[in-house]
Amino acid sequence: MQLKEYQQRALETIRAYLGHLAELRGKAAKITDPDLVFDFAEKAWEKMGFSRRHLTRKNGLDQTLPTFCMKIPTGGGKTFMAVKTIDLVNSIYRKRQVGLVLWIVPTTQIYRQTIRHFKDRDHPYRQHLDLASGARTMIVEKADRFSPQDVRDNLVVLMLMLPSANRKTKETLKLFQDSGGFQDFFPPEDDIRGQETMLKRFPNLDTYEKESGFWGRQIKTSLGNALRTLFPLIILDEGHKAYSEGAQDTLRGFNPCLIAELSATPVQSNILVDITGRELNDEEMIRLPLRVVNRASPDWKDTLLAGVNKRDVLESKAKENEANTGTHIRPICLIQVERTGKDQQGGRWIHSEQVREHLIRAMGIPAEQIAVKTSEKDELKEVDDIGGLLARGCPIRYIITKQALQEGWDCAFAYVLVILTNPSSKNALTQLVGRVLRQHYARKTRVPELDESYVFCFQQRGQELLDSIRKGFDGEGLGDLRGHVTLDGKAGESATGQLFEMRDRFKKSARHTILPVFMVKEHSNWRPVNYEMDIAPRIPWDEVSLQPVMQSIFSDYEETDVEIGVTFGSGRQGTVEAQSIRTLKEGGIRVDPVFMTRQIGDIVPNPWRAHEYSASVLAHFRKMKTGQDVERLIAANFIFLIQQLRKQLGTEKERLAEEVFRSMLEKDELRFLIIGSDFDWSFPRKIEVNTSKILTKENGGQLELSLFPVVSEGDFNETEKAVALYLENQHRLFYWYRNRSRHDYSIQGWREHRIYPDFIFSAGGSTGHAKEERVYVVETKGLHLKEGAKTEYIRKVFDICTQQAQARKWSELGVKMKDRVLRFEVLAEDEWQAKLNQFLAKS
Amino acid sequence: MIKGVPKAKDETLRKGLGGSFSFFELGKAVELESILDGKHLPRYEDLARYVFYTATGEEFDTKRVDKKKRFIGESRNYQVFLFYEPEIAKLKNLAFTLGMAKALPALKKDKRRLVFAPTKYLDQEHLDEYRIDFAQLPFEIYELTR
Repeated sequence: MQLKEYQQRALETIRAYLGHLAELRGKAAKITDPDLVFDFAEKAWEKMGFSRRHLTRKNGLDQTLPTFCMKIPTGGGKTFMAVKTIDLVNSIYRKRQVGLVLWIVPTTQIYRQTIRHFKDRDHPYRQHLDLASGARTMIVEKADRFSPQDVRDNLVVLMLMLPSANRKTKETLKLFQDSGGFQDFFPPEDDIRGQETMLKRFPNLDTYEKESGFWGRQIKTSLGNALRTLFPLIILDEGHKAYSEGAQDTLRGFNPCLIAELSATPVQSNILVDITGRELNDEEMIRLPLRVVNRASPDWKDTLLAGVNKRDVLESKAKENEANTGTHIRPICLIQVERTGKDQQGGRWIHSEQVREHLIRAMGIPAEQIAVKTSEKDELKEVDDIGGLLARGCPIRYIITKQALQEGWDCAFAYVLVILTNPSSKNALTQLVGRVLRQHYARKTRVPELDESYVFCFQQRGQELLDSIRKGFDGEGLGDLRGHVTLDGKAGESATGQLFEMRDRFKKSARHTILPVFMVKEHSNWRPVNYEMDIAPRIPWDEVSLQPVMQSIFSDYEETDVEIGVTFGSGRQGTVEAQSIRTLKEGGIRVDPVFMTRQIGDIVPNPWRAHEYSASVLAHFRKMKTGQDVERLIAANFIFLIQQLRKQLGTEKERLAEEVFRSMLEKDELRFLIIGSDFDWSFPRKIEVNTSKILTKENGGQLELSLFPVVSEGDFNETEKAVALYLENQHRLFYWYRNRSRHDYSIQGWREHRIYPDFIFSAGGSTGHAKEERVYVVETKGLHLKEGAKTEYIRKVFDICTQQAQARKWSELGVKMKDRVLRFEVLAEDEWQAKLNQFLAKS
Repeated sequence: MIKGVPKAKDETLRKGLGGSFSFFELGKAVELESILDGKHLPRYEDLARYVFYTATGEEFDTKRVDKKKRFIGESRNYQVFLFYEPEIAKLKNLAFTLGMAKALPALKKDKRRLVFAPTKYLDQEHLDEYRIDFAQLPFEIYELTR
C-alpha cells in the first residue's frame, strides 16, 4: 500500500509531535520542585509552532494525558492512518511493540466493518498492525478473555463499541462488572497488602467494600479495572460524535497514556493533522464533481427510473473499462426511502418494500440484486459473510435504506444516490451524500462517467438542495470542495465552478511563456524525468554510510515498561514478581531484526538490502559491547537505534539522490529543456474557478494583474494571499498566476514528490527595455519548524533551475522564450516582501 | 494416502487417492528472518508454489512454470510472475523495471498481471498501463485483490 503524499506528511507531523512528547515527558519526570512542574503535552504542542490553542487533559490518575486529533475527511483513509498512528505511538512514545490499544467506535456498523478487517490477516490494516507488532497482534472483543501474559507479549487491540450518549448504558456497565478471566491482573483477594498497594497506585479502581470491611477494599476483577492498570493507548474513531462529558470521563478513567482521535469534523479537539478535501481530490481519493439531478416530476417512480438508467449506463461503461484494464467495478445505486418499518407500509410515505417491489415488478430487476438495509433488517450482513460488496461474485446492485448507512459505511462501488424523500419532508440528503464519493482503488479510471458521482432527487427547492449538499460536504470534512457540485448539468448557482479565459491584454505574452522541465534522454528522444524510473534505480546503496548510527551512545537503562512493571509488581510471590519485572524491562521490545527491517522499508526500497543494514547495525553493537548485559542494553535501546537508523538512511538517501541528479546533469543525461512538445508547460487558456468566494484586493476592489480575471480565495493560504495582494500593487509587474498543485507547472527534483511552485509572474526588466521580460517561478514557505529540510531542498533545486536557465540560450530550443530571463525563487514567510521588492525594484 | 497404502483393506486406499499436498513454513517471523538473511532461501519452484497459492487461492501447476519468462501460472483473474533468485547478492539488486514490464508475455483480455519482486522501479501510471498489480517480496505474499 503506497502512502499518499498527504498521508506521509500527516505521519511526519505525528512523528514530530510524539518525539517532542517523549523528550519533554522525560524532562518533566525529572523535575522534583512542584513549582517548576509543567504540562509536557502542552509544551510539546507549543514546540510544534501551532497557533491553535492546546486543550489540556488529565487521565484518571491525574497524570498529563496527551490527546490529539487527526482531521481527515471521509474517504481519506482514516482507519489506515489510525493503524499507522499505533505504530508511531508504540515506537516513539511508548517505546515498545506490544501493549494494549483500546479502539473505540461509536456505531455497530463501524464496529463490524473494522473488526472484520482487523481479523483478516490478509487485509492491509491487519498487515500494518502486524508490521507494528512484529506479527504479534491479538484482536479481542469485550467478551473475550486475555491475560497479563497476552498484553506483555502481544499488541492487543481491544475493540469497543461505546455509544456516545451516556456511560450508564448496559454496554458500558458490563465493562465494569466483575467477571471471571481478569483475576490475573490483580492480587488475589486474600492478599490484603497487594490489594492496598495496587489501590494506592490506581486510586480510581472500582472496589466492592468500604475500607471498614473485613478484607479491606476488594478490587473488582472487571475488564474496566484491568484496562485501568494497563495505561492503554486509546484510538477514538469518529471523535466528533461529540462524546458527552460522561463518556469522556469514562475514557479518561481508563488511565490512557494517550488518546488519538479521528474525525472529519472535530469539535473541541487538539487538531494535530488537518487534511482538506482539496488534498483528497488531488490524490484522486474521491469522485468529483457530484452531479445532482433534480427532477420536476412529482412521481418518485420517475426519479427512481432515472437513477436506475444511470446505473445501467455506468455498468456498461464499467464493463468496457474492465475489458480494457481488468479492474472490476460494479456500480451500486443507493436508494433512500422514508419508511422501512414492518408496520409502516401502505401509508403516504415511500416504503422500502414498495420500492423493492417496483424495482422487481416494473423494472425487471432480479431480486438478488437488491438489498434492504434497515435497523431491523440487514440484508447486507449476508453479503459480508461471502466476501463483501466488492467481491466479483456479489450480485448486489441496489441498496435500499433510510438511515442505516451512516458514517463509516464505505463502498467504493456506490455511484448513484437516489433520494425518494418527499420534498416537504426534512432533508436527510446531508448524511448520505458522502457515501457516493469514494473513488475506487483511490485512482481515477480515466473514464469520465466512472470518475464522477450522481444524485437523483425530485421537486427539491434549488437553494435548499444546494444548502443541504453543502452541509453534507461540511459534515464529511469536505467543506472546501463545495464548489464541485453541479445541478442539472448546468453550472448551478453559486456553488459551482465557472470557466474563465485569460485576460485579453496578457494573452500574447502569456502564450509565449513556456517553462522548461527536466528531461532525460531515452534512445534518441527526450522525455520528462521520472523519480521511480530514473532517479531511484541509480541510487548507489552500496555507498551508504552508517557511521553515525554505529556511534550512537546508548542510554544505560531506558525504562520502557514502567507501566506494566508496576502492574505486575503486586503479584503473589516475591520471586515471581521480581522476575516478571526483569523480563519486562528486557522484553518490552524483542530485538527482532525483521521488525527493524520493516521499519526502514519506506526508505530503502529493497528488503534484502534493508535487512543487511539492520543486521549490520545489530552485529556491530553485539560485537562492540561484550558481556551478558549486551542483549539487555540493545533491547533497551532498540527503538532508539531504529530511529537513528531511519534518520541516517533518510539523510544518506537524499545525499546520494542529489549526487545522482547532479551527475546526470553533468553528463548531459538530464537537461532542463523546452522541447516544443506536449511535455513543455504553458499557461492554461481557460481555468475553472469556484466563484462562491473570490479573491479581491484589500479594499474590496477587483484584481487587476492576475492572469485570469477571477481567482478563488479558497486556493490561497494566508501567506500566499498576502503575496498575491502584494503583487497586485507592483508597477513593474505584468501579470501573476496562481500555479495550481497537481494541475499546473511542476518540477521533478531528486525527491519522490514533485515541487508545485505557488506563483508564476512576469515583470519588466531593470533596463527598462520594452522587450525585456523576466519570468519568476516562486514558492512561498511558512516558517514551520519541521519544514526546514524541505525548504532547503526546494531552494537547492530552484538554484539549479535558475542556473540551468541562465546557461542555456532559450533561442537554441525555441524562439518563444528568447529575450526572457527565467528565475526560480523560494520566499520564506519572513523575507518574501524584501525579496519581492528586490526583484521588482526600479534600478 | 496419495500414493496408496499397500496394506490397506480397502482397494481404493491401496491404489492411492491421488492428489497432492504441500506444506510450507513461510510467513512466521523466524522464517522471514532466515529468508532475509539468506540462510534459508527457498528454491524458485517452492516459492513459486507458495506465492501462487496464497495469492490466488487456486491450485499451482508446476508444469506451467516458465522460469525464463518468470511466469509461474495463471489464475481466474491473473497471470502471475515471480522475479526471484535464491541468492542474496542477486536479490539485493533485483528490481522490476519498465524493461521487464515491456518484456512480459501478451495478456489475455479481462486479466491482469500479478508481479512479485523485491522492489520495483516503475511508477503507478506505468503499472496501470501494463495492468500490473505489484507485490513486494518477501513481505507482501498475500492475496492482493479480491
